[in-house]
Amino acid sequence: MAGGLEPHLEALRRELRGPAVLSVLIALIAVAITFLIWRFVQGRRSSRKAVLLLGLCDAGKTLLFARLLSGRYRDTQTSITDSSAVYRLSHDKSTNVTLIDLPGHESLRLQFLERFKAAARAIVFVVDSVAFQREVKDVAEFLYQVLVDSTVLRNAPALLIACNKQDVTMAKSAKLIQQQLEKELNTLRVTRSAAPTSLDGSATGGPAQLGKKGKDFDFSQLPMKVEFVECSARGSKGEEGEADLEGLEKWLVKVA
Amino acid sequence: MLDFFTIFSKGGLVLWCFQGVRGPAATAPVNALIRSVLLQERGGNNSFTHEALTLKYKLDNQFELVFVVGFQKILTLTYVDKLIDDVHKEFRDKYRNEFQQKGALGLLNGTFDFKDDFMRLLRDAEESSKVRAPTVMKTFEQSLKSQKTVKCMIETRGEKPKEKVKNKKNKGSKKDGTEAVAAPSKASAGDKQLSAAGDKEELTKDEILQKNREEFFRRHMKAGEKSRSPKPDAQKEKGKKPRVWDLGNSNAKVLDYSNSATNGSAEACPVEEFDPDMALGDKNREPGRLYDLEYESDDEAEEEKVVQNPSKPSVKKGGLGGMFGMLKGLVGSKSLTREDMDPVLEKMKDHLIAKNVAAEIAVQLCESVAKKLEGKVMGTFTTVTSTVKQALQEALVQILQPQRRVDVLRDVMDAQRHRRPYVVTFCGVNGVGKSTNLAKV
Repeated sequence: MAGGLEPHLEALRRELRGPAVLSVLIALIAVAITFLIWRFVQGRRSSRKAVLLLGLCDAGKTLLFARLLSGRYRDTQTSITDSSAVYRLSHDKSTNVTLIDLPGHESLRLQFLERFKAAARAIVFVVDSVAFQREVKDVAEFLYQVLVDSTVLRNAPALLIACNKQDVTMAKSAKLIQQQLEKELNTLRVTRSAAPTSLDGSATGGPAQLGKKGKDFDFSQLPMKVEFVECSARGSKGEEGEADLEGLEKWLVKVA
Repeated sequence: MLDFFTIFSKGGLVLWCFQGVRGPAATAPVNALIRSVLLQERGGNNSFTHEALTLKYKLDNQFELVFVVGFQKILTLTYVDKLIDDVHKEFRDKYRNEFQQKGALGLLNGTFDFKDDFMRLLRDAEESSKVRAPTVMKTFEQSLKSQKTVKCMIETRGEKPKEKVKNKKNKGSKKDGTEAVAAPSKASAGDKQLSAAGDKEELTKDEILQKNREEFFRRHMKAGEKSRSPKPDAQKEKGKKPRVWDLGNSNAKVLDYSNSATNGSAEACPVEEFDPDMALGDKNREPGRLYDLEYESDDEAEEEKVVQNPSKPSVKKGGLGGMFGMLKGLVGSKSLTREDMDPVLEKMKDHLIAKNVAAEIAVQLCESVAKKLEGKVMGTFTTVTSTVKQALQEALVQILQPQRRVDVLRDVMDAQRHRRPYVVTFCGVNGVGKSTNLAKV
């Protein structure tokens, strides 16, 4: 009996060895390729379709967000979390970007920036033009932190500095803000490079150098496109009127 | 009499606002509330004072909303808490669709016409606080004394016979007294009737009895609210220690049997058993005082038995459901409840205290994180532990972020330009290395 079974078993084994193993291998390879393709497509699709709204506290980011998306004026409070929504550009219905409004409070801003910086295709840095003189150093510091971030330097998203609150008479012009920021960032380059490195070891090999070494800092030295635009989220006619966001919207169309 | 009532999303959009009294706008106080309480993780206590206003708030973590009410500090409005809860429920139910389906766009474009509902709720709340039924005195049958059986009164063995007889007489005569008198009267009224007959000792004893009973109830209620649970061994040890009687009713900690009730049903059983035993065992010490406290311990034992019995079957059911609950919690979305978070938070709190964080601060921090997470919907494949740990980590990072710009060199350059000295102060307790560091600097 046992002798009769053995040749049968041998035959079975031989049969199974050849094509079965091969088919298993082919199946595995197919799965692996599908997986890789899927990951690649995912990466392409979700990468960098977001426009981040950054800025100090009370710069007007949430109101800007509301105006762009709904066109109406809304009362706002200090944001504690981010809000994101899809913004459809008015002329071109097919392309759309995701607007993400991040909180500006000091204890939250870096946390949220970490989370969303990889997905950023463009950054809108909102500056309060009225309180700018007082807050120059804080604005410059935050801007510096955004600019030297390794992910931002690698992706080089387009940067727009929106000088908000232009409806108030004491607002500074975009040109003045640009000059002041350049001066301040110039100084910050020196002081920050001498600052102690952070404990989490994120800055490998020291903080990145901003702009060219010998010359004074200029926004044109950055690897990304930088523009300055004046806007007013509240609008000159108060709460009922339209907001003055033309420059901003044109830039968004360009970027998308 | 409210100054304002605001409902806004955590993203910063004000969804609905009610300005009660003509006064300054609501934005400044609410911003102060957000910055000092919510962002600094002081959210354990739900009220906050800003200048002349008191602000009470409530978080809805499922839909990311904040409800804030502000009123003058000098007013003491009792209906505010209830009002916030009612408004929360109603608002959430009314606009549930907008929140769930449309997300941020829904918040932006939706009109939240809540004024009528709010006025109705406000009127109800105000009326309920004004109308308070006159407190009817308890009849003797309703009071606790009538629920004490004769049996527990007889248990006092080895006592001075004088006391025993007197107190028995008290109870018997009290019962007779109220049967005779038709009108409802408190037990104390009965006492007072007797005090004329008895001597001074009796009167004080009854007063002590009353006082002890009230204190016992107070402690029992308080212990029911707090869920501080000392270790079971420590609890047993405390029970077997010889008791010290100063005045019989002052040392709350020793007499606090109620802590064991919060340990869960497993703990309650041993406590129930040894209370009467212990009472009997110790009666040789101060028989007179003991009699009163035996009442209370028996009282407590009876009530604990009553309380624990309904909770025991629910615990048994929980054991079976717990297994499925664990699997259910892993997949699918379920919202966090306090009971889920409590064990994890306890561990975190102990961990913080072990790392030299002050106990009070650790408690407040855990309270604040619990408030932030209550009702939040967890994503798939996230356990409660990981969510709570993540939230606590974020909270700690948030607190420890510097609130202002810390750039010494920049400020030094400024000071040099203005020909001012830049002062750096080294402060600390003795022995941490101030002078050593200063020498290096």
